[in-house]
Amino acid sequence: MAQILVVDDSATVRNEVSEFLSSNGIAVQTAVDGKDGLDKLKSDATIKLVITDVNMPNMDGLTMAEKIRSELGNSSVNIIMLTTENDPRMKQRGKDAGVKGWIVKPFKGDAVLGSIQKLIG
Amino acid sequence: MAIKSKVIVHDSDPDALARIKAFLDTNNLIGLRTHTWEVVKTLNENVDLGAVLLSDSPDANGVSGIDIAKRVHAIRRELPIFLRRTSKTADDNLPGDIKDVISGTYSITDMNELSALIERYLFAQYYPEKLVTGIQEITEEALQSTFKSSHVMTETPIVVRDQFIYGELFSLISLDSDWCRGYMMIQTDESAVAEVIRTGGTWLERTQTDFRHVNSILSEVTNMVWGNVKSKFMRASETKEGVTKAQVPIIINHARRFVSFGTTNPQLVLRYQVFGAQKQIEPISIIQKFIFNLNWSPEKFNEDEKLVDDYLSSGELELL
Repeated sequence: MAQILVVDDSATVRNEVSEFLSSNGIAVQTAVDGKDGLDKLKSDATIKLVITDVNMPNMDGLTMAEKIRSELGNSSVNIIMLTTENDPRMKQRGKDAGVKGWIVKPFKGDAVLGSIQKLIG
Repeated sequence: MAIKSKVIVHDSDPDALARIKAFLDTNNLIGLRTHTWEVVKTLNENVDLGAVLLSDSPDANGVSGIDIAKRVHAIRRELPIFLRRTSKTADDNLPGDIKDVISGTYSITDMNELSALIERYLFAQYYPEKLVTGIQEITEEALQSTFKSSHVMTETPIVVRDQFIYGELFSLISLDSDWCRGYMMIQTDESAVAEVIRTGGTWLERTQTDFRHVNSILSEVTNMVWGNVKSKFMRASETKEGVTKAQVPIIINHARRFVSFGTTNPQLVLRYQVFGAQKQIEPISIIQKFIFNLNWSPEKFNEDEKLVDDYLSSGELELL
């Protein structure tokens, strides 16, 4: 079953997004920062989409996105940033790292569910 | 939307009070009337005051406004005190120790004097309406997202001279742009937030009520508001290599619940009440304060209007 990995250092956001996705029949895993997210991706090939914050301790979301491509060599997993950041330079960096979409917090599940479902096929 | 300020009024003369009340009503001021023995209590109960209006004549209990001014100044040095003169003697004839305590005097026969004091000490700092309204909308959305099924009531924005901290918990985050530099501070009560967690009003487990989880809630709200305010209104300032921007120390005295940003400029305050789905739970009070202590050039604010137009609504997916 295709899974979504939700990466955020805020338990509030992790729970909010996970609860929304689960209630829509989508399997979810969570990680507390970019490093944790990368470790979970290494060990689980069923993850098809990563929804991640940018600003996190230990490893930020953009660095994690870059490492997903460069270290894991994984180009099939889709990445969406869910963040308070809206800086065009950050978005460009994300795009260069293969990030597919950008959502500015707060998370509004109904507004993005269709796009998420498309991305996980 | 008019920004208001809250002032204490202690005056026993009925005619003067009527004139002062009419003045407050037409000058965006909210008056808190006190009696002799309640001045200190009122000071302690309000951490968002703009000024104190006193009279130099004895009040109903025979206590002079000058004595009260000294007491107020001893407790809240940052609050400007405006003294109503009942005689025509010049301010130069006021005792030296009272001149150091008050910010200015006025006469009931010439309210332009009070008007000038209010303008100088309270409304000298101009806050663009679009900015204030935008901050309010962003914060309401962040609070509604954080507290499930909640609705948020926002009070009229006010300017304060107070430097007191509300509640046990506050967050502080810097704001830095071409036209402003300073801080946003969000203050609340730990117990009120913990109670909402306990009753299932947040995305945390109901058992996660310890202070670290409460901290995380405030952190997330702060982060969301900060990010959206920054994106919507503040172009990042361009720092030249090797140029260090000025900073001033922020002083916090925990015992006195006092915070100083090194400026006496009036600060913008927005107050929110968050009502949860559980009707029996007290609403959470959130006090949001903006302190632009390092740079405030609102005349340049309009230049950033393009940012507002380019702003992506929160929650929408932008494909890259």
